[in-house]
Amino acid sequence: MSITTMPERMPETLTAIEMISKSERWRRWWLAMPLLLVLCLALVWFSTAIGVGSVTLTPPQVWRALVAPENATRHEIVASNARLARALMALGVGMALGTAGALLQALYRNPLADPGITGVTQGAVTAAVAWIVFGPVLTPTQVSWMLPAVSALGALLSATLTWSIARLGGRVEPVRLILIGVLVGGVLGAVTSVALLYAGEDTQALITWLSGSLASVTWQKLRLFGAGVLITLPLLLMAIPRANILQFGDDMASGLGQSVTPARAIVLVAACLLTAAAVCTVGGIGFVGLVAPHLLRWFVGSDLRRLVPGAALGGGALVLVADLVARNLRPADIGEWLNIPLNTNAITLPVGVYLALLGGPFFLFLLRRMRS
Amino acid sequence: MTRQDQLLQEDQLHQDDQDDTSILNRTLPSGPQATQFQATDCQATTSPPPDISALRAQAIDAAYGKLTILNGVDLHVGRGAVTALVGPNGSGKSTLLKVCTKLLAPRQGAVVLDGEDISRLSTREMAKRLAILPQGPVAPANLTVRDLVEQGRYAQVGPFRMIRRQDHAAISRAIELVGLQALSDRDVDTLSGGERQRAWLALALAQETPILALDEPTTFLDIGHQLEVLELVRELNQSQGLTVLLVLHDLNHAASFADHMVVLNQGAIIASGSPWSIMHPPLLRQVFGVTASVISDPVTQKPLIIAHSSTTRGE
Repeated sequence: MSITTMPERMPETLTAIEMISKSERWRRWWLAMPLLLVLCLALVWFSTAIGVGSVTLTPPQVWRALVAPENATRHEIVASNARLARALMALGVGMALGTAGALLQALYRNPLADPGITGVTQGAVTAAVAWIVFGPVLTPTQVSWMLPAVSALGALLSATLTWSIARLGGRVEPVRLILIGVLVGGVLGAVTSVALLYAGEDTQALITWLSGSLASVTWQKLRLFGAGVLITLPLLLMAIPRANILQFGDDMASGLGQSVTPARAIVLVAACLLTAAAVCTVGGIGFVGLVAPHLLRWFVGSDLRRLVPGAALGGGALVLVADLVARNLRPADIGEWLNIPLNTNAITLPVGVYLALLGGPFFLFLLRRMRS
Repeated sequence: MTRQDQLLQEDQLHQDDQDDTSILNRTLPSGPQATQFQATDCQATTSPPPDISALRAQAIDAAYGKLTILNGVDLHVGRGAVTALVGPNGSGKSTLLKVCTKLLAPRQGAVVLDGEDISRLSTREMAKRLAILPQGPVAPANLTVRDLVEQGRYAQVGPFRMIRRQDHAAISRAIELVGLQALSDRDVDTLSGGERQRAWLALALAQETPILALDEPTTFLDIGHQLEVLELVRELNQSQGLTVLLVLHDLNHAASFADHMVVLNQGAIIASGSPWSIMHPPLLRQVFGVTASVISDPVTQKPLIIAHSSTTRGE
């Protein structure tokens, strides 16, 4: 038996269709405009991040220091190199977390999902801390490639656990997922605390890392992070269309020709790998994955082919700004301004602190909006 | 293969039955006199489908976990016809639709689409042959109508998910068929209920499949929008030759828009046939627990139910 197809198109409509695809191309360009704006914004912040600091550098100075170091002063070279690495790292981490957030929000069909809330970040952090404290003593080289693997595994396990518990009652309700995420995160946080008790002399470094800090970025870390993201890239390219169709619900996705379970697995693994890459290099930076996709959704819509690049650039810009603040604002200054004695030993606060200060209220705002 | 051959053979048989069917249809009461049917008649009212099957389900058993929903159900969906599944809440009509569209794997039995067992078709292949619109679909925020309809091309798009010229054409045509050209750049959230449902219908149409399955397409719509959507479906069936299988809650809607009605109760098909052969008081009392009269709609000449009272209360 043959398949009956819809009636053939009439030949005279072909020109009309060509006209449509032409206007369609323009529409696509128009829709991509906000992306260009975000790109510009990210670039502006990137340049600012390199220029601003204890020594202010102009763009030509930075350029000279990087391209022709023999003509530059020692100050310029040191500052440019360190700031460039740090800015690249901030951009990269923000992009990875923004992307992971956009993917998870589509996967869970939940605007509140982000790597922090769905247990992904906590899993990666706990696995990394536990492995550093209780794991075998290894050479730095071994640590450098095994730590990402361990935290990626931790992220996957914890995300799967959160999802499975949330699914026990049948349908996964948004609020339910958040409650379970908080629960799993809490338990994992306790595990992390226990591990920290045994950390000994590493404690201080681990605590700074836990809140997410870009202070100890090196070119080597950056290379490692880049390699991790590069490995994830093919998976990410597979994940985007799948996550896009999963947004419409399981039945709809299946009816449109996408098997749901493999698609979910691909999206979840991609999001976990990206988060783990970010977590192992700079620690538990939160809320980027929540804030960036949200802000960008207002400008580019929910289609992930636009939202993922948007959320990536937005996340990058966000971390760049937060780190710019973190680098240049000393707790002592804040104390003076608020008229309370804040005499900490830390010269600056980790970037994660500022992002949490921004992200918490934003989360509340979203919760309120969701209820109405 | 043997099962498939068997089903194919049965298809041939049904084709041979065609003459009998038409005679049967002619002799069936078509007017207010249908209300004279006796209680015993409703058991026997299972006429063959109006045309050869586009889709057939054979001996379907389906369950959610331990809860059995369908028990040995056979369904024939006539090619080019509008088939409506009706039945009380929990009768298994939505489940049957899910089984027929491969959204739910039956525990037993097979569904044959164009002579092929759908359990052997990939999800993607299935999406090229049959479009389904689930009940109460929800679009992600900030999505334009065109973006929504574009998703209908998911199974067809070229390598790297590139939207090609023929995809653009299919999308534009689907939007035109539901009459949403003027609203194609609007956000789906900002549309009225009826417009939104039309946008979802366009998504299914963009799949360019010969069969369209709809699960209660009129839920959450007021009476005007309900009719708007159903009239559109009917129109598409007639102008595009679409085979339509839909679950409907409202019996009067089913009777006026479907060629063929299938009545389910407690996971089994109680009766199937043309609206006039199905809609009579004994069956309504048996399946829905209502005392009702059936009259001929003065305008469309289709059967119209007037329910008087529920018989289930106090039992």
